[in-house]
Amino acid sequence: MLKRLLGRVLQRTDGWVDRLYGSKWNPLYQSGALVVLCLAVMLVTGLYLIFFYRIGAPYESIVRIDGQPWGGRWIRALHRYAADGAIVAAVVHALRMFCQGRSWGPRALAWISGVFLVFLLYVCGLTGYVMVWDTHGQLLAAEGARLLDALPLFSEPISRTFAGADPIPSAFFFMNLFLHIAVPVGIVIFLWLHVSRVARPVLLPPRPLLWTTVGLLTGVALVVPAALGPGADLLRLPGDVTLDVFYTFWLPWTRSAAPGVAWLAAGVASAVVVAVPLLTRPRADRRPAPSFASTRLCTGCEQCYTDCPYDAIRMVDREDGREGKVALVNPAACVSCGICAGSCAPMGVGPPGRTGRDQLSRVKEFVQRHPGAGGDMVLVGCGRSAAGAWAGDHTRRFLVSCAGNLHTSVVEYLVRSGARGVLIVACPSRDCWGREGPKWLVERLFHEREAELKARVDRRRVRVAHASAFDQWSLEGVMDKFATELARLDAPVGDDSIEVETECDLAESSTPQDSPLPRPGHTSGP
Amino acid sequence: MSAATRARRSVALVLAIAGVLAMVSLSRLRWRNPDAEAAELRLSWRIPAPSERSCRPPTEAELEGVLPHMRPSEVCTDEAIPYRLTVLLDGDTLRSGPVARAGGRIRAITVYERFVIAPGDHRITVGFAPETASAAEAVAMAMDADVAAAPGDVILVAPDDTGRLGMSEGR
Repeated sequence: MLKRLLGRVLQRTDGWVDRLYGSKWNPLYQSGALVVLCLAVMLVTGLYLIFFYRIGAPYESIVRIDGQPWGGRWIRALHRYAADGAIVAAVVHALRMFCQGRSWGPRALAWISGVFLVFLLYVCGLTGYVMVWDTHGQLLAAEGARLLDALPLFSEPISRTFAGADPIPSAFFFMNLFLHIAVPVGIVIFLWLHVSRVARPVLLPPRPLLWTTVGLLTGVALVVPAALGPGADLLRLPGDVTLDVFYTFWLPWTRSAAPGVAWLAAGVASAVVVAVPLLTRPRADRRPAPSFASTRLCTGCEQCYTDCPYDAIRMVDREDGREGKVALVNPAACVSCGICAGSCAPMGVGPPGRTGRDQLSRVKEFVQRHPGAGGDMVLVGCGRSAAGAWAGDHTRRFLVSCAGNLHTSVVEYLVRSGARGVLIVACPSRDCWGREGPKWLVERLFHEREAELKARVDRRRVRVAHASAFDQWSLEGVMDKFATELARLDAPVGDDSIEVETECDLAESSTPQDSPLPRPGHTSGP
Repeated sequence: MSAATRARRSVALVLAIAGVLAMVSLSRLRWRNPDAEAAELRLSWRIPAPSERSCRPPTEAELEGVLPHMRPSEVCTDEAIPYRLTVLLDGDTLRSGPVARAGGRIRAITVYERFVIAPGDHRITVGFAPETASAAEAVAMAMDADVAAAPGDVILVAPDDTGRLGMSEGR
């Protein structure tokens, strides 16, 4: 329920932001890459700040840094705003993955490591605030010590450090500094783990968005310096404090709560977030089956192995007496995106019911069922894109699970059956649920990537559009333009006996049963 | 570039700037700590391992089986001295009870207590002494003083260099 509601809000927001920025530069699609960008900004600015920070006089050194109008002041502000940006982008990224159901099964590792990444980011941020040692830092340190004292960790209350009877030992600030520098090493390790199950991870946003983000953060850092409260005074209770909602939103609440209640709330919230892969996993009968590779049809070309966005396909030695290699799907890593189906010329790989052969059967039925569609424009698209939400004539619409899943033979069949044009609607390239579907689709249609659209198909009758579900505005624009262009072409001539090359027998069954299990523990079918 | 595109780009830029400014505003939200409306009485000190040692000559049974050159002249046991802390504010008891030890039974005693008090003039009485009369030589501390507490003040009660309880006031 919550997932569906949030998903609806997210889709609408995507549509509006697409309209303003274009799907290519929509920052919501780049949320994960924006986190990494913010981390990089923090690293670079942090390297500068570390030269001026003194653990013997933390607050005074920050005041000195802020006294450098052309250097330290805006660099410290940039460091801090990038930290806020990282949290905002991480939350957006997590929400997207949650709403899109991309948090369970093979993606559970990415989810869990992402949760740890955010946790480490928090630790890093909190130590950074304490390092400043203004009233905000003092409040954080005292509250942190109070909460930690409630746990059976220390033999004596560490809150005494902040009692004010003795000066704060410099070891405390050294520990903070050490954590502030060491935790990012952990962040790098978890980031590696986070992307370890995907092929060709994209870690940074496209350059225009990258420089716009850096420019905006720098601009605001120049104009609005980072907040710095009065220096910490342990014999005064901090009064007016500048809170950072993204890092210390909990402070007003925990100050008035018993430590046990605060820990319980934090524990429950953490447990729920960590359990999302379990909570969002569909019932066994509703889970999409992983891909399988037919050992008989596989020619060992390695295209599916190359195209798989999740490194779920390996090439192994054949065990059927034939020479060469054969594709083998690891079901534990396969998210059933179906992109491999679009990559296979002999249509021997893909999720059950969504292989090239299955699509070809469906499109034949589609053409027979809607003969009127011939001579008109046919909309082919990913069900999650604008094509899925299209309110127009459904007899002119053919949906697949992902644009990358679409086999080019479907497009060929439609054009040769007499469609005036085929408009393929993919999700925005950075919002593909299968990661690389739109990219491979364009390559296959126009750049001869296997399984390429055959040269005999008139490319003028084929067009690709990228539009998210609520971006009907873009879709209609492209449709109008394409219709105008199609009108200039000759009327299409339908082919009565369409033969689409599949290299192998079309009657070949594409059920999982024809895929033997070459290695124990690695099945190529469900 | 058409007027519509120019307008769209302008709106996009304005929204991006507004978004970043909103984020920055949320990162510097003013918050008034309600605790600062009151004052705080804070007690903080630590005394190392207050214990009572009692020794006696070893019994024959204890010496038996021990090599002659390793036989102790006496056997000693350390008994933890229980302590009581009493805090009075204007004659009203804020706390009166035994002080828990950190960790094992003869470990140090750490006192760290915080009390929210109303701003104004107060008389503070603190007593920290062994609960048993036999431990006459053990550390004992007491303080009785008047204090004027302003909102946000921390009245720190802690021993000075001579081991006597004293008060520091934040201003």
